[in-house]
Amino acid sequence: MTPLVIESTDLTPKICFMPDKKEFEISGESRPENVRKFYEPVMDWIDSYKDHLHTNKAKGNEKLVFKFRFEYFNSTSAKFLTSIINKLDTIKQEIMPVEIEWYYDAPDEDMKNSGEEFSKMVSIPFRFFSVN
Amino acid sequence: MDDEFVIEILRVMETNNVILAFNGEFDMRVINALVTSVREKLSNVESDIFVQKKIYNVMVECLENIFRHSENAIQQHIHLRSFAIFTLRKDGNDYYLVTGNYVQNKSVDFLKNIIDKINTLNKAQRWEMYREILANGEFSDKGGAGLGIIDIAIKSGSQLRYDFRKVNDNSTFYVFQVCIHSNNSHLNN
Repeated sequence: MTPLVIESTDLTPKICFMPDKKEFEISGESRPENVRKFYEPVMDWIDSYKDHLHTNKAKGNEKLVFKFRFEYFNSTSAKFLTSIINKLDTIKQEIMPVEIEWYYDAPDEDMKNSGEEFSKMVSIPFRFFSVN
Repeated sequence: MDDEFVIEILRVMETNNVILAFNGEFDMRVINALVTSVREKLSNVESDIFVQKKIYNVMVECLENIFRHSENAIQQHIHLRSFAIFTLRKDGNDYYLVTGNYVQNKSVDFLKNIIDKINTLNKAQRWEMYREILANGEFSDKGGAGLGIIDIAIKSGSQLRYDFRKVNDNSTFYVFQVCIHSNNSHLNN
């Protein structure tokens, strides 16, 4: 499975999905000019990865950990993040355990609350980490 | 004559502690320039990084709302004026962000209803509404369904204010104001 790595810009986050290393992380700021154009390849990649996992069954107690380290995301990005998290939820329900690690700047309660709201929409366990 | 005009504008801005005021056409380039400028200026006037971040977050959403509404309106009614106004000022411990832009008359009821509804909700209910719109709202690629407004309401933790002034049979000038308190940013509202 080919990794997906997209470097960050002032308006878009870094995407680093490296399945061989089991590292999956989205980090930075998200307010793309064209939010669909930015997130569609990310969602397509997750779909392909899901197919890959279906055909290459997970072994033993393997699990996927997705890390979200946002400094900021706008409301339009939130809609696409919902879709991404829903896709991960499907992987969890159909294939193997998935966890989300949600990182936020220590004083940024808004970012923590946003993560908590996402966690209420899905069955994936979220772990929250405040970063100083 | 022009000197007087400029001095008058400067006086009004200084008296009202205006951090930034912009009147003109809004596109992504302008929005990015304003956001960068405010980020720099806030580090001089506000020591609380969390408040700085709140203002930044709310500002981005306010400016994108202008862009969203104006663009939709202009596409459908070419006569609509595309310019809008944004101001950020500090009054005591409060920061006021005000936008003004033209919208189609038919958008007025939607905006009024959603803001009125949000203003009746407490913090937990606002988050509930946010989640509901995220899960079920009808979106275009530019957003919509009121998610931007509820996001602003949650992050500001305050009541939203608006004013609509009908311009003609097609367009209305929409003024939107949000306040962010700097002395108590963890508001329960």
